[in-house]
Amino acid sequence: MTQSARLVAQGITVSFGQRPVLKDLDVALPTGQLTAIIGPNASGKSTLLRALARLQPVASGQVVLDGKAIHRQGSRAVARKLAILPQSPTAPEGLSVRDLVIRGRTPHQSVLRQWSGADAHAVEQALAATGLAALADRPLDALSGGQRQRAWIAMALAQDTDILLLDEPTTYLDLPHQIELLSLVRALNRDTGRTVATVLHDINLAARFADTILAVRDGAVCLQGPPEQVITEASIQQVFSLPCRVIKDPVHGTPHVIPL
Amino acid sequence: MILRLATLSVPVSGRALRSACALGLCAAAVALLALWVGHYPLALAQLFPAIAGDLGDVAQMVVRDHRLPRILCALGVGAGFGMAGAIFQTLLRNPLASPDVIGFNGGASCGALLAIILTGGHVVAGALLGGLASAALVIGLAWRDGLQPYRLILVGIGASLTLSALGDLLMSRMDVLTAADMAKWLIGTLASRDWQDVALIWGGLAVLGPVVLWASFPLARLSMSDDVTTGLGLALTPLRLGLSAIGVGLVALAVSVAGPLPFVAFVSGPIARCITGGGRPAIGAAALVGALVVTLADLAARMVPLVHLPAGVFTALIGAPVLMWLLVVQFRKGRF
Amino acid sequence: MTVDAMRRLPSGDRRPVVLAISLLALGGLALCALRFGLRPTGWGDVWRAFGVFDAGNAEQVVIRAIRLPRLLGAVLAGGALGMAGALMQGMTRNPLADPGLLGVNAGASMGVVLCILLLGVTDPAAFVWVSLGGALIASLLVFLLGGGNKANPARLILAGAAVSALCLALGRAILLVSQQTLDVYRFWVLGGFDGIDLGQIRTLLPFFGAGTIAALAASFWLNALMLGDDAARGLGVRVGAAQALIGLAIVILCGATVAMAGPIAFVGLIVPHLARRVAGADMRWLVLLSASIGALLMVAADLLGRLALFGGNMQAGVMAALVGGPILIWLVRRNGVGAS
Repeated sequence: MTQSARLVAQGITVSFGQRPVLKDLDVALPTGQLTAIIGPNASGKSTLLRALARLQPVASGQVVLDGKAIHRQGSRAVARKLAILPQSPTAPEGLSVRDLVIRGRTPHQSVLRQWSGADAHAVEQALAATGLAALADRPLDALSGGQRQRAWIAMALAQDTDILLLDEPTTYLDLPHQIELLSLVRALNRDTGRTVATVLHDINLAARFADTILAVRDGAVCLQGPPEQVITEASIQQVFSLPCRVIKDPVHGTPHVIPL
Repeated sequence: MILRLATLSVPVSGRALRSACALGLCAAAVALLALWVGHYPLALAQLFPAIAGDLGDVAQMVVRDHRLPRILCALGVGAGFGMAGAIFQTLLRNPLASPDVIGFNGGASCGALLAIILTGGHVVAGALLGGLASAALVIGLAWRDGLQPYRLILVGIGASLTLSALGDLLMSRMDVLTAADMAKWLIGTLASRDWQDVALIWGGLAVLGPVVLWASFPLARLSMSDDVTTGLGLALTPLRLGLSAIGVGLVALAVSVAGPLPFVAFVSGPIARCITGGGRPAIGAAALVGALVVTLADLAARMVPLVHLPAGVFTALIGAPVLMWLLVVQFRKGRF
Repeated sequence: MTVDAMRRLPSGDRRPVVLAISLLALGGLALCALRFGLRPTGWGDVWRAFGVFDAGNAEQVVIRAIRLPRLLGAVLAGGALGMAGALMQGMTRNPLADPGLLGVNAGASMGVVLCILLLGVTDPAAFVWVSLGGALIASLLVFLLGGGNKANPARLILAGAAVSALCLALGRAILLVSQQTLDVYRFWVLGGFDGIDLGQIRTLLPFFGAGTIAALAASFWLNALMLGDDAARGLGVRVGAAQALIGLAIVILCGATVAMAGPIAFVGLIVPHLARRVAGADMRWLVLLSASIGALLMVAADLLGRLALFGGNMQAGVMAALVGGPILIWLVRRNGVGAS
C-alpha cells in the first residue's frame, strides 16, 4: 500500500434488527489497486460494499472518502468519485441499453445541460468496453442474463469515477464472460489507475485477478493482503471452514484452491 | 438527437419528438373543431374573425366568451391531470398508481361535502383544502426514514378508501337536491367556465410547468431500483417529497377548475408511454394526451343532444378504448 | 391469548392462532348480528328461533327470515371478496389490484343497467343471472385483451382497468339519461344485504362453493407462481392452466357476490393487506386468512351500519372501508413494511 487510501471504513457497525451484520469493522481500500472481497455467504461482504458506497446507513463509526465523512458530502459529489453496481438492480420496462448507460452519466449532468461531448464519449467508451455497441438500441428486457449484467456494468463505467465498487458482477455470466469481464475490470484498473473493489464468489478468480484479497467472516475483516500471502490452506480453512489444498496455478503462478 | 438552446442541451429521441408533435397537432385540431361546432351554428369562415376581430355580434360572443375559455380550460386541466398521473406512476413504480392513490380525490370530495354542509358553498375551496390536507396526511403517515413507495401505496389505499367512504356517508345524510348537485360536481364538468378559470389553470401551469420540466430529469432516474438511484448521486427522499408535492399541486389546480375528472390521470401515462416507447416517463406526451382526452370529452359532452352530461362521463368512454386499442396493437408487435 | 403473547410465538405458529381467533370472533359477531337490530330481541329469542321455532312469533321470524339470510350473505360475500382479492394481488403481483380489476363488478353493473333499460326488468331476482352473465362477459374481454393464455400481469392490469372504466362510464351515462333505469338500479347498487332471502343464498351457494374450492386449489399453485413464471414451470406447474384457474376462481367468487349483493367495493382490496401481516408470503394461508378476515370485516361493517345508521341504506363496502381503512394504516405504521 504505497498511496494513502481514499476510501476508508472506520469502526463501522451495521445491524439488521437485532442481528449485527458488521461489527466495529475497519478497512481501507488500497488506492489504485484491484481488491477482491471474498467470504462465505451471509458473512457481510455485500453489506460492507454497500456501506462503503453510502447505500447502507451505519449505526456507528463512519466511512471516509478523501478525508471527509461520506454522509457529510453531497450524494452527487460522491457519485462523481465513486460508482457502485448493486446486486440485482432493476430498470423500467422497455429501457434500451444505451439509455441505461446514459443514465450512468447522471452525476455529471444537470437539468439544463443533459448532454455534452464528454457524455457521448463516456457512453460510447463504456458500450465498446463491454462489447455492447451492437446491442445498444435493444431493450434491456430483450437481452440474455449475461448481456444484461454487462449493460449494468457499462452503466457503472459510464459514471467515469476513480473508484468502482461491484457487487458480484460475475453472476449470470459463463466462464468465458467471467474471465472477459474480470480482464476488463483489471484493464480499467491498470490503464486508468482506478481503484476497484468487487465482491467475488470464486476464490481462484479472485486470486488470479486481484492485487489485494479482503476476506470477511462474521462481520469482521479477518485477512487483507496480496493473494500469495493471504490464500493459504490455513486461511481458507479459517474463513470458509473448507478443508483444501492450495497449489500454484501452473499458468499464472497465482494460488489455486482445490477443495478436498 | 440533441436539442440545444443556448446553454441548454437535452437529448431527445426522434420517436418521442415525432409523437409529441403529432399529439400536439391533434390537440390543436380538436380544439379548433370544438371552437367551430356547437349548438350555435357557425360557418368556418366566421370562425377566425370571431376570435380575432371585434364585430361584437352573437357569433363573437359565443366563441370568445363561451367556447374559447371552456376549451382552454379543458386543455389546461387535461395537461395537469396527465402530468400528475405520469409523475405518480413513475414515482411509485406502479401502473395503477394515480393521484387518488395518495388520497387526494377522497380528501377533495370530503372537503367539498364538508364545505357545503358547514358553509353552504365554497365547494372549490373545500375540495382544495380537503385534497391537500389528505395528501399531507398520507405522506406524513407513510413517513419513516424517508418515503418508501410500497408503504406510501398501502397507507394511501387505507386513507383514500376511508375518505371516500366517509364522503359517501356524508352524501347519504344530505338532502336530495344538494346531493344531486354534488354528484355532478364529483364527476367533473367543464360547463360554463369563464376567463377567470382560464387564468387560474394556465397561470398555475405556467408556474408548475417549468418545475415539472426540471423534475422530469431526476424522475426518469427514479424508476430504477433505490440502490442504483442513490449510487447515481440522487437524493431519494427530497426528490420523492418534492415530486409528490408537484403532483399534488397539479391535481389540486386541475380539480379546482373542473372537478375530479375520473380516469384522465390514470390513462394518460400508459397511452403516452405506449406511443413514445423506450421506458421513459414521457411527462410531456402525457400532458398532451390528457389535454386531448379532456378536450374530446368536453366536446362530446357538449354535442350529445337533449341531456347535459358532465364531461367526466366521457373521459373514460374516450380514454378506455384508446388504451384497449393500444394494448392490442402492442401485443401484435410482440412488445408485451 | 393477548396480542403480546402472540407476537412472541414464531410467525409459523401465529397463523393458526390468528385464524382460530378470527373464526371465534366471527362466531361471536354472528350471534350479535342475530341478536341486535331495529326490533328488540333477546338471546332467548335467538336460541328459540333455531331450537323450537314458532312461526307465529314475530321476533323469531325476524331472526330467521331477515337477520339470518343477511348474516349468511355478509359472511359469504366477505369471505369470497377476501379470497378473490388475495388471488388477484398475488396473480398480478400488484398491491393495488382489486378483484374488480378483472371487470367483474363493472360487467355485472353494466348487465343490470342494460337489462333494466332494454328489457324493462324490475324484479331483483332476475338480476342474479343478468349480473353473473355480465361479469363473465366482461372478465372474458379483459382476459382476451390481457393477452389470452399468454397473459402478463402488467398488461392484464391495464386491460382490466380500461374495460372496468368503460363499462362504468357507459353505465353512468345511461343512468344519467334514463330516469326510470336509475330508479330501479339504485336499489340494486345500494342493496348490500338488505332484502336477501334464503332462496337467493341457496341459488348462489354452489357458486360460492365451487369458487372456494378453485381458490384453495389455485392458492397452492400461486405459491409457485409468485417465484416467477419460469421458476414455476421448473417446479412442474402449468402456468397457463394455473392462471386460468385463478382467474376462474376470482370471476366465480366476485360474480356470485355481485349477483347477491351488488358491487361491493374496497373489501377485496383491503382484506388481503390485513391478512398479509400474519400470513407472510404463503398464499395458502393468505387465502384462508383473507376469507376469515373478510367475513369478519363484512359482518362487523354490516352490523355497524345497521346499528349506527338505524337501517339507513349504506353500501356495505362503504362501511367496510370505513372500518378497514384505518386498521390498515395502523398496521402499516406499527409493523413498518420493509422493502417490498
